[in-house]
Amino acid sequence: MIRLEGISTALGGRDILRGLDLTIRRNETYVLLGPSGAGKSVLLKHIVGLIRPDEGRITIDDEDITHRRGAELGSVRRSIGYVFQSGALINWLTVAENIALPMREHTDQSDDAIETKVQKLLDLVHLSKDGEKFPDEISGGMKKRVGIARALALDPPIVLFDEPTAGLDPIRARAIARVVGNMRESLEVTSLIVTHNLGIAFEIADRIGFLENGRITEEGTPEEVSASKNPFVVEFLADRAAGKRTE
Amino acid sequence: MIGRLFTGTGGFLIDMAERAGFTILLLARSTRWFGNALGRPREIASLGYTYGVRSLPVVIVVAAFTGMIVSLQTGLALAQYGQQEIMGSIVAIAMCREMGPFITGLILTATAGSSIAAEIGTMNVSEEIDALEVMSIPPEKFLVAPRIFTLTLLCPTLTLLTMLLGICGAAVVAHAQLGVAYSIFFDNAIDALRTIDWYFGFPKDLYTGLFKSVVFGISIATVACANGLTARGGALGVGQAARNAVIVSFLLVLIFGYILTWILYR
Repeated sequence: MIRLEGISTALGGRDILRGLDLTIRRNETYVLLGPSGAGKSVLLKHIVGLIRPDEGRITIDDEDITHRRGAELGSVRRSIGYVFQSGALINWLTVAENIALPMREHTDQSDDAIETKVQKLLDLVHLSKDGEKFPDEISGGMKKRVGIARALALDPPIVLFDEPTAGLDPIRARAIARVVGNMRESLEVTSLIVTHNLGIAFEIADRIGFLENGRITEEGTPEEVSASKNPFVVEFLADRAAGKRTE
Repeated sequence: MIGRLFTGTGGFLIDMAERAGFTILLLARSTRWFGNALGRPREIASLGYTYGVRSLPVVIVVAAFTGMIVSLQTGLALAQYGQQEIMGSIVAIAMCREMGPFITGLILTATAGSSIAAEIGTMNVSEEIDALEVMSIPPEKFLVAPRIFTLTLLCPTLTLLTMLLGICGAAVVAHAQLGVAYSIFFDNAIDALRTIDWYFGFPKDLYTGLFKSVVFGISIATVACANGLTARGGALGVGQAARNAVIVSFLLVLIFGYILTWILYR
């Protein structure tokens, strides 16, 4: 279980998070929605220690990780997969080498075992035949899927997704959503997904939270938030309906 | 107006101090991963090819022409006194003590230094460095130590080549323009290097020149990596990181060159 309590963070003189409280249950898929610049990605970076809060406490399975550094933080990070918005693949490594990188750095597995695991992950993200390609040779959507495969390389119990469908056409966005959905069913991971894609959010979420003015102002199951009277949520859902009409 | 000037100067000095501190700490943190870099010979070879072999054409041309220019200028002056035969001594000492490491340092700053800063800067602004951190792979281990290690080996190797090519270029000019026989030129060059102390089988001038180049290699790689790792703000930030890396490395090559000469020859 991931718990953020009273998180406040200012960046560049601007208050991004203001006493944010958020709990994500074990094996839950939690989707975080909010306007651009609301601090959704900043929130994800708090969980992996890339940004430290000015105030508040972050716990994972009741262990306080707020002020961990060095090796202590490293052990926490190895239990979390992080899918970056751009994929963030290492350019001079092939797709397969990118996926194998965490295993080569942190495990004593043999080359054969790593290759088998890489192939399994490539199958999971539907890129079975693209292992030898370099990041420059694949599309944005494929990079995101490689990023997902790499995030799962160490079998982390928690996976964080930063805008996994941003910049993708609806078909590729749905392909990513299918991968995330399959992952939840087959791997039983706890997922926190930051996205703007409402359709996908409602398709894969167990719960949805809305980040507004540095706090979670509304959360619940897709059905609960659909029935919300919160003006901010209503506006978001109106956008969703408008989006559907234009599709 | 004056207040703004003080604020601006103070801010600039604080920023400089912060950058210097970060660069020194980066070098200190990276040294623990040198053993790991040693265990990755393929990666070191690949980096050596990228930063070294691709710099070779520039090194060859600049080294040869520097030797030729030094030879021509000193030769013309010496010829007025009929002393052109000692050109070999002057060129050998100049190339080994100063010109070899200095020229190589400047070339590697312009080629490898800017390239490393741009490469790591691009990785930084495209979240690849964050990705490494999240995977618990220290950038010092994965990126910085291999690059420092590579330039530490590469800079003296290219310096040796620069020295040789410079002296050979000078010999050609001395022979063609001033009529100095090759045998006299090279005998004088070797005698000049022999007359000064020997350390570990090397003449002192060669030894100190190579030592300087090791220091230059470490400085260029560390400064480039530090600037790449602190790049912010997309393509503009990457360009700025590369430019800063080149400027700072140029200055460090000059400053360290002077300090080492002072220490080793005073």
